[in-house]
Amino acid sequence: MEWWIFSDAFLITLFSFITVSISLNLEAGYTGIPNFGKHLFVFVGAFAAQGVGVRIAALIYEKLQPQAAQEALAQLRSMVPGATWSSLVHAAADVDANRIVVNNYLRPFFVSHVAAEALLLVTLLLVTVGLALFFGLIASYAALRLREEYLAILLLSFAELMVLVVFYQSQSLNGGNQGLWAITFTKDPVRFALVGSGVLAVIAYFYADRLANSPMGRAMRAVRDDEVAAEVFGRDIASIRLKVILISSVLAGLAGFFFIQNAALSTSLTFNRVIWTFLPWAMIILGGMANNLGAVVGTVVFLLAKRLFEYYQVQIAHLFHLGSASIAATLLPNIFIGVVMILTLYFLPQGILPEGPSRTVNFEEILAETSSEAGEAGGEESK
Amino acid sequence: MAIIPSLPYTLESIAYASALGLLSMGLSLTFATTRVANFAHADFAMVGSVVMLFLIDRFYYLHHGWGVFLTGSIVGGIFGGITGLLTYLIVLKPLADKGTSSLGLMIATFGIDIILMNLLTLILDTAHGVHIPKLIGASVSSYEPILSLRGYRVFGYTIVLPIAAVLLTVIFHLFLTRTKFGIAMRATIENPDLASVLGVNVNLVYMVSWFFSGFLAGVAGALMAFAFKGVDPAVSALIIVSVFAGSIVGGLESVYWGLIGGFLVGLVEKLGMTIINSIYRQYFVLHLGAPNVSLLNYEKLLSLGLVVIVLLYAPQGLAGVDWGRLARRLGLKKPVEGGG
Repeated sequence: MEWWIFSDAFLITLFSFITVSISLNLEAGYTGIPNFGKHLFVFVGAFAAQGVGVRIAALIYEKLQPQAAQEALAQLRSMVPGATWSSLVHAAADVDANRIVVNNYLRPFFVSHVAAEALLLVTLLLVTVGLALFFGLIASYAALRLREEYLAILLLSFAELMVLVVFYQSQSLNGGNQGLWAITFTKDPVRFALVGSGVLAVIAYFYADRLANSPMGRAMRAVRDDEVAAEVFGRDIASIRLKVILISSVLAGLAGFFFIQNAALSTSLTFNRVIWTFLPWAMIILGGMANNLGAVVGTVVFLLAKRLFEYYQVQIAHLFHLGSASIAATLLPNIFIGVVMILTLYFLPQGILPEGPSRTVNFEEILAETSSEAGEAGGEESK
Repeated sequence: MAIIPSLPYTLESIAYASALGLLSMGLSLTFATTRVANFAHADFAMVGSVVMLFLIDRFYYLHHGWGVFLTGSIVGGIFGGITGLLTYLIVLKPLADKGTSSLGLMIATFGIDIILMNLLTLILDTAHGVHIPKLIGASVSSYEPILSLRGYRVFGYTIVLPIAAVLLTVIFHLFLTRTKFGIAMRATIENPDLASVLGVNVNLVYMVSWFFSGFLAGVAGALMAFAFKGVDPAVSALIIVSVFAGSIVGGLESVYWGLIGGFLVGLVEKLGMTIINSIYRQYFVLHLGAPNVSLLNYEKLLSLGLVVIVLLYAPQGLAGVDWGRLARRLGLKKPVEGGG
C-alpha cells in the first residue's frame, strides 16, 4: 500500500509503537514504574527473530533437510574456509554468508513448507515471550527494591549497556556491528509484519483496557498513588509490580518481533533510546498518562509528525538551508518531539486525554441485582 | 604481555577517571540541590567538546601549545555552564513551579538530552569547517602537545585533566567553606525551607548550582574531546551511563563522594578491564581455549556491576558507609572504649 505518507513501513511502525506505548503506559502511567529502558525490551523481540531465530531455523533445517544442508555447507565453505553449519548461520564476521544462508536456504524452505514454518513461528514467538520474561524479571528485581530515580537510572543504564555494548560489540550474539538478517515469515514478510503488528496492537489495546478497568487496574493505580495505603488495604505491591512489568515486557517484545520482520538487515542500534524509549514516553505524556486511548492518540500524533518530516525532507532541508535532506529527516523530528514533550509537560500536564475514573459496574445495577437476590445471604464482597 | 598496563595507558585512564569525577560531581550537585536526576548531564559535556572543536577549527593559529587546554576549558566550561543555567531557567524551574513531580522533571531532562544531542549534531553537520573539513566525527587529537616521558609518547590532555579536576575541586571546596554564598548553598542542600526562612535566596543557589554543574561538565567535555576518536554528540549515550554509575557509587547526594565515585568508576572501567583482559588473554585464551575476543569493549559492564554491588550492599553509596565502623570491624582501628 502506498498513498501519500502512508506506506506499509509506516503502518508497521505505527502498530508497533501503539503496542509499545500501551505497554509503557501500563508500567509508567498506571503503576508508576519509570521504565527508561524500554528499548531493550523491544529489542528482545528482534533478537528472537535474528540471533536466536537463525540458529533455531538452521537447526530445524538441518534435521529436516540433511542433504540440502550439506550442499549449502559445501558451497559456503568456498566463501568461508573451515566453516561449520552452526558457525555459518551466525557468521557475523561474514555477513554475506549469513545473508546467503538465510535468504537462499532457510527462507525458501520454510516458505514452501507450511508446517515447518508454523512450527518455527510458534517456537520463535515462545522464545520472544521467554526472553521478555527473563529481562522483565531482571528489571523487576530492581523495580521491587529501588526508589524512583535510582530505578530510572538503573533501567536506562542496563538497557543502554545491553543494546550499545553487549549486543553491539559481541559478534556472535546478534551479529554485532554488522547486524543479522532476521528470519521472516510467509512469501510476503511485509504483509505478515503488517497483519501481525496490527493484530497485536488491537489485542494490546483491548487487553490493556480490560486490565486497567479491572480490580487489578485499580490496584495498580493505588500502588502508583500511595504505596503505603495500598499495602494497608492488603495489596501485594511486589506481585502487582512484577505482573505489570512482565506483561508489558512481553507486549513490547512481541511488538519488536513483528517490527523486525520488515527490516531485513539490522543491528541492535536500530533500537536506540531516542526512538524506542524517549518517543514512547513523549507519546504517552502527550496523549495522557494512564489513559490507553491517550497512548494511541499520542502515538498517532507523533508518528504522523515524524513521518511528515521524513516525507518532506527535501523541501524542509531546502527551506532551512540544511546541508542534506537526511538531517531534516532524522535530527529535526527528534528536536521537535523533545520540544513538544516539554511544552506538553508545562501546558498540558494531564495530556490530551486526561486519566478518567476507572469504569465500574453501575451502582444502580448492583442495587437492582442485590435486591432481586435479596433472599440469598450476604452481599458480594467488594474487591 | 604484562598484566600491568603501560604508562601512557595508565595516564589516559586517570585522565578519563578525572573527567568522570568532574561529571559525577556536577550531577550529584544538581541532584543534591534541586532533586533532579539530570539525564542531560553528558550532553553538557558534549557542549564543551563541540566548543573545543570549534575553537580549534576557527582559531587554529592561536593554538600551538598548552594554551589550547586553557582557552578550551574556560570557554567550554562557560558554554556548558550557560547550557546548564538555561536548562534550569527555561525548562526545570517553570515545571517545578507548576508542581511537576520528580518523575516529570526527570522526563523533562530526558527531553533536553534528546534536544541537545540532536541540536549539537545539527550544528556540527551544517557548519562549515575552516581548518577541519568535516566537523562531525572529526578527531582533534592531532592538535594537542605531546610529551615524551621515559620513552613513551604521552598526550597532553592526560596530564591536564587530573590537574584541572584537582584545581576545580579545591576551588569548589574553598567556595563552599570560605564564602558566605557557599555556606548558604550548603544550608540549602541540608534544608531548603529553613534556609529560605533565614534569608537565603534559594532560587539563586539553584541557579548557581546548575551553572556550576554545567561548568564542570563543560570543562570535562572540552578536555575529553582529545580522548575521543571523533567528536560526535551521540557519544553522550555511553558517557551518561558511567556518570550515573559514578554518582550512585558516591551516593547521589554528596558532591565530594560523587567526585570520588566517578573517579573510582573511571579507574575500574579502564584499568580494571585492562587487567582482566590481559589475565583473560594470558590464561583463558592461551591455556583453556576460550574465544579470542577483546574484553576491552565491555568495560562499561564493570561500572554497571559496581553500581549493582553498591546498591545491594550500600544503598546510600560510599557517602553512607560508616567508615570508622568498617575500619574497626576490619581491625584497622582500635575499638572505641566504652562503646560509641
